Amino acid sequence: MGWLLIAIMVVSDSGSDILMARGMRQVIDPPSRGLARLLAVFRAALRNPSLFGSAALGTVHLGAFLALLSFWDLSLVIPAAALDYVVGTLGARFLLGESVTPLRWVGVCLISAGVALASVS
Amino acid sequence: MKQHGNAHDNPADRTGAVAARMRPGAIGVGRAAILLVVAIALQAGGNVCLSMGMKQLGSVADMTPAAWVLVARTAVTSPTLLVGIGCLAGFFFLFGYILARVDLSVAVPVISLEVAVNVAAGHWILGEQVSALHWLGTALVTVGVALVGLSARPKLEHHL
Repeated sequence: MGWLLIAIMVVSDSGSDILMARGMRQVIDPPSRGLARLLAVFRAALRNPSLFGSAALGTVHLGAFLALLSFWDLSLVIPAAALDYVVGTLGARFLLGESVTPLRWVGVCLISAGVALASVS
Repeated sequence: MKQHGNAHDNPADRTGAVAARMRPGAIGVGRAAILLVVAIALQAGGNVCLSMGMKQLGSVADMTPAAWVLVARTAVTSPTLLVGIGCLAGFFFLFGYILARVDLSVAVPVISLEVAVNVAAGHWILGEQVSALHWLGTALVTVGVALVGLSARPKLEHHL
């Protein structure tokens, strides 16, 4: 059950970030200043489906994190949650076709090896 | 004859180019260090509070609908969890402030230390068992997170 919750955390966190980025670009385009414009952005944010989706997935992420902390040690949950970077990179490379720098691949390998070591010990 | 100099050969132009690269409202090294330490402390402290609060609640590993309701209700009623969520909210806003004012090549590696700080907090404050292999794994994750963060630097700076 623990690794299932880690998977839920990773997927919901990545999804929340993507929707947040999309939503914020929609409501803050073009960037501008001033109180009236700020209020208009706030009102647009409240009506933006992407931002609602982001908040919903963020809530799922927090719920899975809390549930996991009820029976796993914090010292295991935090390193394991870093798998978020691994899944995000694999998704960017193989689903979105983005280029991934060698530095990022090294980081992903280190995270994977680190999580494996932390979880088996 | 071809001119090999450029606009940066003029000290005044060079100063202007450096100023143009600096973030508006950039802060000094001392203040940046203090803010980064406070951010890491807020993040680790928040997670310690969440862990303590959930351990008091008891395991909800079965994840029945009733367990989800219990988690949601506890999240908004337990003082320990509320303090933890408050700390994490504080970290969120402080980290945003830091990213806008501190060079990412400094902020990202320092913030990645939060992985190791959380494990240390789990060991020293919550009394969790952390083996030598676990510490080694934590060190690898910390370095890996820093590298992944640094590899995103040009993209991030483009959006800031």
